[in-house]
Amino acid sequence: MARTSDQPVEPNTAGLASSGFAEAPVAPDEPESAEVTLVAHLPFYMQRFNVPQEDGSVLSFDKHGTRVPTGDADRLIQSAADNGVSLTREAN
Amino acid sequence: MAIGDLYNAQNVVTGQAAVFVAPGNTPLIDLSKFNTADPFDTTAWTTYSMAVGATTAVILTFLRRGVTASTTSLTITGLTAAALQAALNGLATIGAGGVNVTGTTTTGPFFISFDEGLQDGVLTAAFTGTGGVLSAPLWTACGATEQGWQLGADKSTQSINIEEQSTQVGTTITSQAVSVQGSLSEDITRTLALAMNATVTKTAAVTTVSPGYDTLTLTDTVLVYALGLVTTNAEGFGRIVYAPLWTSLGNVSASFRRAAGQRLYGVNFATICATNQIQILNFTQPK
Repeated sequence: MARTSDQPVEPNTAGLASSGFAEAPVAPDEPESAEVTLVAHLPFYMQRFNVPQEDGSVLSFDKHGTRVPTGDADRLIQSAADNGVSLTREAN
Repeated sequence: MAIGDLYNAQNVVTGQAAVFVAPGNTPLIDLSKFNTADPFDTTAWTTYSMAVGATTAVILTFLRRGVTASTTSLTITGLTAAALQAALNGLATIGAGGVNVTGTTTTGPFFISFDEGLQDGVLTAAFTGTGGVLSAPLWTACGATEQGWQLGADKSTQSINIEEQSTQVGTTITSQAVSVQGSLSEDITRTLALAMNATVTKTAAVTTVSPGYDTLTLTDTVLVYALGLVTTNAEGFGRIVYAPLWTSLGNVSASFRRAAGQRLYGVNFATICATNQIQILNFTQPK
């Protein structure tokens, strides 16, 4: 029969110091995307919805989606609603 | 046997039909939603579905005849069909009893259907977050007509004859044209687009700068539609004529008169699909 040792067993930590493990770096917070894709849901007979901008340009929306600045999304969605067109944000 | 035993006068039916149009190849409606007690109930054809995805809130807007009204921001978590229905019924453009909402947020999308009198309105949604989609009804009623609709099936045949028999020995169908014709009486963009084979671009108004307008552009590309014609039948439960692909290339001659009559836009829907895709469903029993 093996004799049980009375000595407490020290944990073997000799290898840990040189194991090479390092604290995993914390990834910085992802910045909010500067643009968002808006998709138009149009009546069957309509192919496109245009929203003229103050600078003279025209933002055009169809079922394929258009990328717009994130800050403009709410305004454009409301403008579309006032015209009976539904614009929805597409998941990135 | 009396002559009266050879016919059933109850099978002689008069009555109107309604025509619904959708993008080409749109499948027929879910027949479980067809109302055999009222075949002209538009619920089965014109129901919105709202999927909430990962959104946290939604604002619904109902536009009708140039007037809009919006709900407050509705929190998605815990939103019930009853609460959504109450919010919509509270809109000035809808009114009490104008909308019916079913569905839950936990098991699937909401289904929103409007009273017949509100079918000319449009519901839109502004979601907070992503993944929310308000799917507009696929089908749209064509609207008022001058003298209703005509269903036609014209066939051209080829007789097969032999010298040895005076009567023909066979007949083949060389061509067949199934059509639905009518004169649309609502002078709106949708009517013009259907009658003129035109594409439509809507341009929003710019406050104090320029008005909003629809641009219809005639095209040589043949636009195709799915079409469903609904009417009553002798059994009293309704009938649907459906095919997935139709063109609308009829000739248009609209008169603009002071008082002699309304503007009319003739449409002639003609099938371009295989004959076995043209279906006539005659409902004979309710659910």
